[in-house]
Amino acid sequence: MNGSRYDILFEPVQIGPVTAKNRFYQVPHCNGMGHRAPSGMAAMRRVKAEGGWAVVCTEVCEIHPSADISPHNEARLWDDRDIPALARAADAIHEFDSLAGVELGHHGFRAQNRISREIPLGPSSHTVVSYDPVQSRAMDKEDIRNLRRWHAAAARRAKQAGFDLIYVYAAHGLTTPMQFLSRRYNQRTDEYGGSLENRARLLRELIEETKDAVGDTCAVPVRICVDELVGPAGLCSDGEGRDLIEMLADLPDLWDVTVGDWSNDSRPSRFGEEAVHEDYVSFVKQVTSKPVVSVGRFTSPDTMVSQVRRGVLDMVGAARPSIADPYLPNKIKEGRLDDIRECIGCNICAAADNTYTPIRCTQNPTMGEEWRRNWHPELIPARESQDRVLVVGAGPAGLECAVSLGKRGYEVALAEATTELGGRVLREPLLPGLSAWGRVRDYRLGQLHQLANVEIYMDSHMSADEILGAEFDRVVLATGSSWRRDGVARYHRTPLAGLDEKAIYTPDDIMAGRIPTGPTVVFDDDHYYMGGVIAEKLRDLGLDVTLVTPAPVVSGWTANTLEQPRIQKRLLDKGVTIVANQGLVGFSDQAAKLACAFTGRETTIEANSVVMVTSRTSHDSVYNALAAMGDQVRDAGIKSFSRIGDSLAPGTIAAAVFSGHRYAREFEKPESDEVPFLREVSELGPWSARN
Amino acid sequence: MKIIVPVKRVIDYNVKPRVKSDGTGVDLANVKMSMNPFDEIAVEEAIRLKEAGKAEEIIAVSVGPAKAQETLRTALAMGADRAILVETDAEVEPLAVAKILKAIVAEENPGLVILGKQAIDDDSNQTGQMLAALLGRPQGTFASKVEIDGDSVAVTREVDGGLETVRLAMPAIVTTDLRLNEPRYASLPNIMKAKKKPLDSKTPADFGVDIAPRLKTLKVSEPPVRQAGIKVPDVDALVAKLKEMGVA
Ligand SMILES: Cc1cc2nc3c(=O)[nH]c(=O)nc-3n(C[C@H](O)[C@H](O)[C@H](O)COP(=O)(O)O)c2cc1C
Ligand code: SF4
Repeated sequence: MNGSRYDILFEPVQIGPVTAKNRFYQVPHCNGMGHRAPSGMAAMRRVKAEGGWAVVCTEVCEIHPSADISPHNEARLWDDRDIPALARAADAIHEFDSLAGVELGHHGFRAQNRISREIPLGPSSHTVVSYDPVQSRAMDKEDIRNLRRWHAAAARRAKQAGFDLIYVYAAHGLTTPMQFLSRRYNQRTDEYGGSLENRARLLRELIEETKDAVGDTCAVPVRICVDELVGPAGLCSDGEGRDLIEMLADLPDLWDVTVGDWSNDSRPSRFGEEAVHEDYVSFVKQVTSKPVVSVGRFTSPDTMVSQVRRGVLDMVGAARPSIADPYLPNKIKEGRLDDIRECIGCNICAAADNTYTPIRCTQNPTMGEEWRRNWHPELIPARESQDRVLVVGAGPAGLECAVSLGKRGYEVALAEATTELGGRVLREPLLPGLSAWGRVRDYRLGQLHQLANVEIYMDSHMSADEILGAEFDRVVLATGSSWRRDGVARYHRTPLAGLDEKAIYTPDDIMAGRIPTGPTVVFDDDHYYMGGVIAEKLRDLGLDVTLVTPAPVVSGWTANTLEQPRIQKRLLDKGVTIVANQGLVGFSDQAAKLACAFTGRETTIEANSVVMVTSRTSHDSVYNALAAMGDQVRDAGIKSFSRIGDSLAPGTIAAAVFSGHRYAREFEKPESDEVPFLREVSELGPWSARN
Repeated sequence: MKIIVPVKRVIDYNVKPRVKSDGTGVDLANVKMSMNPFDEIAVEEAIRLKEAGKAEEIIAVSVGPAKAQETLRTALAMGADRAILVETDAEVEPLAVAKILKAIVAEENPGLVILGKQAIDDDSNQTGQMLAALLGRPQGTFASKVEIDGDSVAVTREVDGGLETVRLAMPAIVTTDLRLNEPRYASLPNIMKAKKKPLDSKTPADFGVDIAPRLKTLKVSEPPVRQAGIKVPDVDALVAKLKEMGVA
């Protein structure tokens, strides 16, 4: 789009010896594939390059066995044998004239070295951050020389693999040079400790030596943390963080600026808007002449332009926006702003890494599936038949299914029982902090409205008989689920007896505006976001709220989405009482009976009402009715009927979207016992003469 | 009493229209189409009058391509009793539509014709008025309230500066404004049932109407692209900027 106000985003940027074709910069992000699934990683990066990102980086790349953060699956350049895997990614990125970046990292005392069994190294002796009973040892001079040599060797391997940008990584508290920088971690008394200049010595040496090793043809960016968010005890952007950038101002070829630890950097939408880091980051451009990249879940082209025009950034850094929409740059370039799939800030992508599994994304069901299922975020095969498909239910699964079938060219009817589209992605975004999640619905409605072959029918509850009479070849039921009232989840596997039914609520009640009164117990045996969100909502309404959970913390699974500590803090700040390690075992006569999760010892608290945030029941009655009809269904011309999303099995929104997408891609395929995706099976090592 | 409700198949209101590259019109290939929203309001009003016992039969009429059948089915699913499609692939101007409707009115003798005040594709806002003139019947346009009382109908109109109520002797012509009602949806089960309702097919020639256009489209173009805005720090700066631009 020449002459558009976004043209500035498509100006080239010189980074040391290389040139980025535009200002879109995919910053390093892990993906749960890494060295274990290199082709999957490469294919995912390839799609980013194809989508127009001028720079596409790998995830952090362990430079040595003493930087082993397994079971996290990151990139690796331990020795030459790791080169081909990374070369595959670099080559794939180069196919589209993008620059390939690799983030070399040594994890210092953050590496538990679970596989390598090396002793973790650090500026000083520290416990590792996990509860592993492991401590680092303080590096001596030889260790420091070794580390510098390993880094330079890894840089040369990275160059050999074809990378154009070879990082020094000193951010997130995760890596050795950053641990040296921070007063919190560095208690040394030699020339690597004490003054900022001394603490920055290792970083300076690594930058200089990386440039010596590869700087003739490769750019050397530095990923830096300018504020640890612990005040003057650590780096801060109006203190040592600024002094540091001033000190090293033009030494690296590019500054990639971050704030705080990973959970702050990848701030979930519940706790931060777009461009959340600007106040901490904006000084950097004033003290360096080198290009500056930073992040902030940028999905709005206008915000991006504003960041560049106001001199905050030279390049728009993005991890999550590039995951949710690998084609973000091209869509802006082509003026297709309505087609942008905006990241919702749920951090399901991060949860994949934290559960050591290939990356997935709520908004982009093809993420992580590029190689193993050959899925593409923008391309989908044309239809194979004239089949007409009825999708019943317009929640996340039904919407995604209808959109994807529609894009394939199938004639689709989407029947929604209520008078609004969205299902749970209509209701849940109205809960505190979740408004950005409405983008799951917004994007899909925007797409649906462009599809002439998808008809939307509101107010259309479909009984099994009506489905039979509706003259479709295929029927997909995406009818969702509802929260149970009987306490069944993990703590109780069978219904809890003797409950005062009248005063039991579920999240569905709250979302429908049926609000309890008086002191209320929220019993959270779900452990994802809902319990915490419901407690917050009721507290905001002025109720006296006690959150009871058999787990040690609130919303425990959100540790994976980097949300947990902030959720617990918010609830405590708002005055929610948290009772952990307790199960709800009874509720009658205005008293909730609790039992200790370990001893079973019972106590009683006063409660007018209880909200059960436990588990959900699929809405499967129509499916079951069709199943019971036997041949009648086939006689009505229906070739198949299936369930997707929560109506098949309640799960995350991401799982519902994936399920809808998968149906749309695969429903014609015959049933098969084959593994439904490609696997990269590692090569066997040499066997003879091992002892 | 019968009510006739003309309905038009237009580009769906959610779709961002794209102009054909040669500037001759809006590209309709593969574009989602649906019933003109003001016409949905007209259908709804007719159904409500029938539900209130003020009308016996609702006839939906559409002038347009074969696909306009779908639009008529929607009207039938909402609650119209039968439909007439006057099929033509040509572009039909409001005057031609009004002439066709005049002929249908002559055959059906409705007490009311309720039309949308305008169609969202060409925004002409003419058909209802032209029909009233051709028939020599009273018209209540831009209705936000319609009340039948015996042989007359009171129509509350949205006019500049407030509401105006006029009383028309029936038979009469009413055109609907946005706030008249909130139309119901045509549900899929009702669409299926509507397939059994009668739908007559005619052509403009059946009514002896010449639909040749009287207007020539010279050029269709996209609205100009929005220019980049600027941000000002506070109200004072805003006022200064507006003065500088000569706006304030
Ligand atoms: C799934 C995921 C994995 C990440 N892995 C890394 C990593 O390996 N190295 C790194 O420096 N930052 C990593 N980050 C942080 C991102 O690079 C980025 O700074 C952060 O997500 C903020 O940018 P965003 O708002 O555009 O997502 C990761 C972020 C996500 C979401
Ligand atoms: S998983 Fe959620 S946070 Fe991550 S990219 Fe997708 S939408 Fe954004």
